[in-house]
This record gives sequence, C-alpha cells and structure tokens, in this order.
Amino acid sequence: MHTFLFELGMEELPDNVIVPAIENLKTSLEKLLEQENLEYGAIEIASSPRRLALSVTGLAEKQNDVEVCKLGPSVNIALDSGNELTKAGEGFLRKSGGSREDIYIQTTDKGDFIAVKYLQTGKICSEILRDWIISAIGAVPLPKKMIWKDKNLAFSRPIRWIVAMWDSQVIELDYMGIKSDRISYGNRYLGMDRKVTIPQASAYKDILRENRVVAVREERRGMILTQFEELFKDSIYRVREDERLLDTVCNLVEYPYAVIGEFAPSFLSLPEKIITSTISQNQKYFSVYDECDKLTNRFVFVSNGDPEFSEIIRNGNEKVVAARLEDAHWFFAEDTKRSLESYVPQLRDVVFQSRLGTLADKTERVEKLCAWICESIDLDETSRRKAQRTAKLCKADLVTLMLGEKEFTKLQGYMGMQYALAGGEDPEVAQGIYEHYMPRGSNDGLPETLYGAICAVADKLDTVCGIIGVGLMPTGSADPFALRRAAGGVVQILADRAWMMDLDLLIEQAFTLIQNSIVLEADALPKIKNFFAQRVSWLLKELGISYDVCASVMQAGYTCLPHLIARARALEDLRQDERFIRLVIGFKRVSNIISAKTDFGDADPAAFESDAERYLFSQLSEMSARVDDALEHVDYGRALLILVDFGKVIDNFFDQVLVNCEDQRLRDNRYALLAAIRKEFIKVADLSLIVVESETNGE
Amino acid sequence: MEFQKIILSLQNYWAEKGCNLIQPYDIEMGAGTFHPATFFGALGSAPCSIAYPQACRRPKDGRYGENPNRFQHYYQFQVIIKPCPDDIQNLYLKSLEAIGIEIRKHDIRFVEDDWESPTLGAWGLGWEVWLDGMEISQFTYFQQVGSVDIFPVSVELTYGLERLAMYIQDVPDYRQLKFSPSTKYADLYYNKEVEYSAYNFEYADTSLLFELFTKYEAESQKLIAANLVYPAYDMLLKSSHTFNLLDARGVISVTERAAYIGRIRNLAKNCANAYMAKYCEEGS
Repeated sequence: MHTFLFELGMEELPDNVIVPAIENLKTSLEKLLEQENLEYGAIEIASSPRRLALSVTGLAEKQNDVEVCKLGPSVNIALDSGNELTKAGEGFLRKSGGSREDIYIQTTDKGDFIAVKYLQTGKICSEILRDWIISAIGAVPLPKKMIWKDKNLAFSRPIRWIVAMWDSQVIELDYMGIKSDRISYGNRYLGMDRKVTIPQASAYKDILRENRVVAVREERRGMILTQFEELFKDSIYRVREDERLLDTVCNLVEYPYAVIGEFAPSFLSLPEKIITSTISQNQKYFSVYDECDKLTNRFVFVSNGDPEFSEIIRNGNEKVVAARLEDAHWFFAEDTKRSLESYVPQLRDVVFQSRLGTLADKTERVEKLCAWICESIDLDETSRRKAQRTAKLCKADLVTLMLGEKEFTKLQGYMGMQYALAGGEDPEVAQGIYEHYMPRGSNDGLPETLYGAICAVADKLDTVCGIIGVGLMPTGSADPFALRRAAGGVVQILADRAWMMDLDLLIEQAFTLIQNSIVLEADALPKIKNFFAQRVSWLLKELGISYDVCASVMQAGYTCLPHLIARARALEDLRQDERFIRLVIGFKRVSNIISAKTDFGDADPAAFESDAERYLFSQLSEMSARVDDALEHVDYGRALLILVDFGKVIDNFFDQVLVNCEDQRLRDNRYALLAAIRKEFIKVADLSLIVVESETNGE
Repeated sequence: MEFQKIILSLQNYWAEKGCNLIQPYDIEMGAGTFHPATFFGALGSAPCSIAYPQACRRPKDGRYGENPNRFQHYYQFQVIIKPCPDDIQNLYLKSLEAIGIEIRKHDIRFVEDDWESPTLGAWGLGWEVWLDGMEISQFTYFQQVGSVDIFPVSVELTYGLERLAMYIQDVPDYRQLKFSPSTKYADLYYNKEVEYSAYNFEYADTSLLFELFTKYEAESQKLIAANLVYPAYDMLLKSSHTFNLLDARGVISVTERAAYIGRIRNLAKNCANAYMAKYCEEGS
C-alpha cells in the first residue's frame, strides 16, 4: 500500500481563507478517489498560514483492470453489405474506447447488435493524483485573488512551492512554472533559507514538527488550550473563552506558544470593552479575568516565535498594547470633556446615505418616529421624555474622537452609553443608547430597556424604509445595509414587547417621515410592506411555527404581531388533534368547491332544500357570534375549538347534500352558504393551507 | 542604532541588492507611494528597483508634538521592485536583520492587509508586517496604479521608520529617539510639530486652499493636454496635499470628501494613461 502527499506552499494566507481552501481541496480529492474507484485508508489534512496539505494512505499502485462491455447499434446499421463498419459503426467504436479487434456480434432477443469487449488497464494512481493537483489548485474558491509573476496565475497570495510525493518518490509536475519537489519550509525563526527535505510522504507531519511547524490545525488548537490551562494552574486568573478568536489565532500561527503579558493597572479605569476590543479585535490576544469575573490587567497572546525568546517577544507585545490603550485613554479623556449632547450638531457633517441625508437628518426622523411609537403604546409623560432623549443622543458617539478616528468603530453604541453615563444622563437612557443597535447579529439579544426597544424599532425602520425607498432593495446575495437583519430586529422587538401597534401603519409612518423631505420611489411602499411580511414569516419559523401554519395564519392578517403569534401557537397546539385534522379536510372541501367563483350573494334561507342546509345555516350564525366573542377576548384557542366543533356540522352537510347539483339556483345558494362559512374561518386562519398527514404521504 | 543609522543601513542593504538609491522628492506628500519614482516606476514593463527615504506629511495626525506616537511629519523608507523577486519575503526579512532585528528572536507576522489608495487609484494585496505585535511595515503586491492594471507586478515595501526606531532604541516616545549620536529627534522636529499643528488646524487659510486646489487641478489637466506627464503629476501632488490640509481644517464633509478624492484620482488616471502612451511600448 502507498501514501500520497501534496503540500501547497504560499506566502501568508489571510486567516479566513485557510479553512475553506483546505476543505475544498479535501472534498475535491474525496470526489476524485470515488470517481476513479480508488480504495484508500484515510485522507488527512493539514493547514497553516503558509501551507495547505493533504495526504492519503492505503492507496494501490494503480487502478484495477476492468473488463469493459459496450453494446452498439444493430448490425444492419453498423455494418454495410461488405461487412465493413459504417459511419455509425465507426462512431460507436470511437466512443466505446475499444479497438477493431474487440468487436463482436451480440445476439439478443431484439436482434443482432455490434458490441465491444476489452480489458481496460487501470491508470497509475500517482498519475491520476498528479493531474488532480494541477486541476485542483485553480479550483480553490478564493474571495480575492492577485497575480505576482504570471498573468494567468492568480491566487490569494503568491504560491512558492509544491511538494508532491508518492511514498519516497517525488511526483513530477509543473504548475504554471512552479515545479514539484520534496522541499518544504519550516518555521521562519529557524532560518529563512532553511530547506526541509521530506524523505517520504508519511514522514511529513513529523518532519515539520521538528522544524517547529504543527501542521494540523486541530492539534494547534489543542496545544493552545492546554497552554492556557498550564499558564493559570493554581491561579485565580482565567483566560476568557472565545471560540471565534481561538479559531482565528489557530490560523495565524504555525507553532503556538501562549505567553502572559501585562499592561499598567491604571488603564483598567477605562470602560471594559475598550480594553477587550484593543486586546482581542486589534491584536488577537485573549483577555484575562479573575475569580470574580473582573477584567484584569493581564492578557495572553499566542506567539509564533521561539519560546526561548518569549521575554523579548512579550516585551514588544506589551508595548503595543500600552500604546493603543494610551491612545484610547486620550480619546476617552478628550471626548468626555464635553457632554454627549454637544456632539449632536456635528452629526450634520456625516452622511448617512447620499440620498437620505446626514446622520442629523436621520436622528430627527428617528426622534419623530419614537414620538409616534410612544403615542401608540400609550406611554406616560416621563417615559416619553426618556425615549425622546435616547433617540436624540443615540448616534452622537459616532462623531466623538474614539469612533471618529476609526480605531474603535466596533464600539458604536457602547461608547454612547459610556459617555452618557459619564455626562450624568439617566442610566436607562444610557443603556437605551447602547441597546438601540440590538439585535446586532443573529445570536444577539433584544433591548432590555423600553427606551432601547423604542429607539431600536424607530432607527431600523427608518433605515429599511429609506434604503428600499431610494431603490436599493437587497438582492438574494447582497444586502450591504443589512436590511434583513434590521427588519427582522423590528418584528422581533414588536413581538417581544407584545406591542399591539399595526405594522403597516408603523411602516407608513416611517415612510412618510422620510418622504416629507426626500423623493422616494413611487412603488416603494408596497415593496417595503412585503419585505417586512417576509420577516414576519421568518420570525414565526424562528418561534418554531411550522411553515403551513405560518402561511395559514399570515393569510388572516399579520400586521398585529402579538395576535398573529397567539393565533399561530393556538393552531400549532391543535394540529395533531384528530378532530382538527377532520376540520381541515372539511374546510379544504369548502374552499375547493367554491374556489372557481369569487362573487357570492347572501345565502337565501328560503331556498334551502334539505334540513342539513338549514341546520348548517342556523349553526353558522351561532358559531359566528361565539367566534367573535373569543376573538374579542384574544382567545384563539377557544376560537379554534369552536371551529373544530363546527367541523361536525360541515361533515354532516357534505354527507347529506350534493353541492354541485343540476339546479343552478340551488347550487349558487349552496355556494353562498359555503362562502359565508369560509369568511368566518378566515378571521382566524386559512385552514386550506394546512398540510395534513394524508396529503404529505400522498393519498 | 540611531535614526539616521537605520536609514543608512537600509540604503546600504538595498543598494547591495541592486536598488537605485534615489532621494526624497521635493514636494509634500502623504506617503512614500506618492513619489513619482514609485507611481511611474510601477507602470509599464520596464524593470525597476529603487529605494529611498521619504518625508511624509499627514496634517490631520498633528498633535502639537505632544502624542508619543502621532505626528504630522514623519519618515518612511520605501522600496519598489519590478518584477518582484520570488524570495522577496526573505529579502525583506534580511533587511530587518540589517537594522539589528534578529529574526530568530522575534515573532514576525505577515498579517493580511488589502492596501488601497483611493487618491492614486491604486490597490494591491499583501500584509502589514508585525514585529512582536507591532506594525512596522507595509508589504504590497501592486495590482493597479492610476486605475491601470499593471503587469509585471511590482512589490512595494514601506518601513515606518519612527516606529521601527522606537522599537530598536526601546523608547516610548518619538521625542526621545536618538537621531544621531549627538542629537535627539525632538531637537530637530519638536518645534516644527507644534508650529505645523497650529498651521494645519488653526491658521491654514481655507479659502486660499480651496482656490489653490482648483488651480492645481486645472494646471495638471492643462499639462496633461500638453503631454507633460511629470509636471502634471507634480500638480497632482500639490492638489493632494492641499486637500489634506483642507481635511485637517475640518471643512470638507463626508460626501464632499469622496468627490475631492475622486477628482485627484482622475488626475492620477490621466497621468498614468499619458505616461503609458508616451513612455511604454505596450501603452502606445
């Protein structure tokens, strides 16, 4: 059995490119081995900033020989009168891959056909793999490519070497001028021109390790975690876990060595997130907390250098952190010399979006929309004042030095909160400023304060209405203003707060506020409403409502979110109930029968022929009154049970009455009766959209 | 190693590697990339290897001399080589050894950076080079200059000299840097930082600057029409610095900003195209 090794050596890849690239190569190799019917033991992958490597064990020397049999056209088409191949016969032979000697006549019960049979000798494995390397490099998906030497060779960063081996042999290949060899390179600190010779494919990982490269990413990850534990053994300090940061760091180093650094304790007077974002976002270091979960003046960085010189390396890293914190400290001190409110006028200088005006314009609109929301949820005067204050100040931090200098942009909202607190604003207003950006991502929570919630809804609505209003509707792949998240945030908050306001009215309000000063696209409003409708249906799914229940309740109106969700939940609770399923089937019959017609009069009781009709009619008006009562009390469970009860009456009706009778007058009157029933049901949900078991299994 | 010794060592190192040591350009600029030797050197297929120190001005970064890490006048050392050598990363690392940084004792990282100069219509891919966590250089493979796709590819190395020197001399403040055995950096530059900060932020006459910007722009266009690419490029440099001054005075709003940058980029594009047509075989 044989081992194959391929290593692509590059100048440092961006950290986010490495994992997708190696995964792509692995999938591609698996596919190849399957297509070529090559049995193997295992595929192993390795990746670091400077290399992507794959090895396969347990390979045979070559593919198995295969007997190929192919049936061609019938003899009278393939052969001419002189028993020579016709054009059609030649064509078959060419495609079959056989030669003239392999032809024979195959007799079947449909007649005589020409056929070929031959032994296809298996290809040499290393040749198959060599060809794969050449095609696979160019197929690696990369977000951004560059050229460096050859106009036709683009990659994420320059490719500098290729190791391709079959056991102890080099698989010779030339990829756009880069020739394969057995030479790799180890960690730079061991020497820049130091070549690492790989004697055989299976020795790859060990040889690299000797040269201070831990090639397998997962192994590096394990090392880092172990080192973290070692560093703080018997100590009250702990590294703050951060999976994403750890993932990134694994892609930045080849030979990880975790080291503790410190900064001056005086910097701890800064708001915590300023420190952690300096440490983690800029420098990719880990924050350290004590046993009370308080941030300490320590941090841990993962060095790629020689552990022997960690002191020197630590010294440098500490200086960088100190300089950055020094900067932040200066920004914070300068910024807090003034009140947060005093920054508001400067928002005039910052464009929100070229057609939608400045951040000052946006702030004014948000303030007005907040006032409208306060009104519609009937807030008391004090709360209204706080909501207005939150709206007025919510964007002011964007023009402070801390954010304006572009060093700490991720702290928007957080700095607003800190500066509001420093300036003596109401703590709830301060928190609201921070929270008005929530939810910031799919895993983020919703605002806890009322003011944060109001302001978040207003701000996001203004963005969505404005951006779509100027014609920048997001596409399937591009949503540069994150409008889906913003609109999703709006419906999440409305649901979370159980605000009864009408979503469409809210949208209209936001739209009008923009339109007062800016010309928006004529057909934008229905588009925006539809965009939000999709978010509402997304929310229902997030809440665990099945898609058919979602469609069914949306059909009955979706603009009052708390009611919509209550209806959906009530329906979801009932959907396994046997009686409910019968009701759905009955209702589908009702809907189907009258589906071709749109125009119905009132049913005329005098024209009823049977008791079943009269009974249905009398029960209908009674049912209607009870449903209305239940709806008035927002008791959708009860409303649905009333409908379920009514199902028996419908079943009885269908059992006894043939709706589609010959007599048109009779028939129309029955249609009108069914239409009246349908109308009652639709107040709660369109049950015809519910999928019942018998349908999914196929009747 | 004193500041001037760092420059001398880098010059010696790159001269030995075959670079032409040209000298700083005599017009204000925001970064060494603006030197015509780099801008025009990157265009066309003729080989090019040059190295030079360049004084750079970023009016907005002035702190009246008081911030230990920020100043409106500073030095870059710039290397540009076309076509780029296969072992350029090692060539660069060895240049660090030449100024006393032993690679084996440090953690050197090449941290992803997509470099872009919207003003020059230039971009490239490469890295910030980190020395024990500190950014000391910019390392870029140019892909476009003056909005022109370039080939062969040039590699550009930019050393931030004050930062490197602060690291090498182990001082926390630029003012304490030794410029030469007898002189501190502050002796030469502190007073200038104070005065220029005042000029940049307080005294620069904005209406004069607005007028100058328009005039330099018009002059550049006129010179392009006369097919005089080098003088036209000088006018671009002047308009670019004038814009930086206006920006520091805070009189250019965000939208206007993009428009001004677009105007300078347009001049850069004209210069690049005219240069290609006049001096490069493939451009004519």
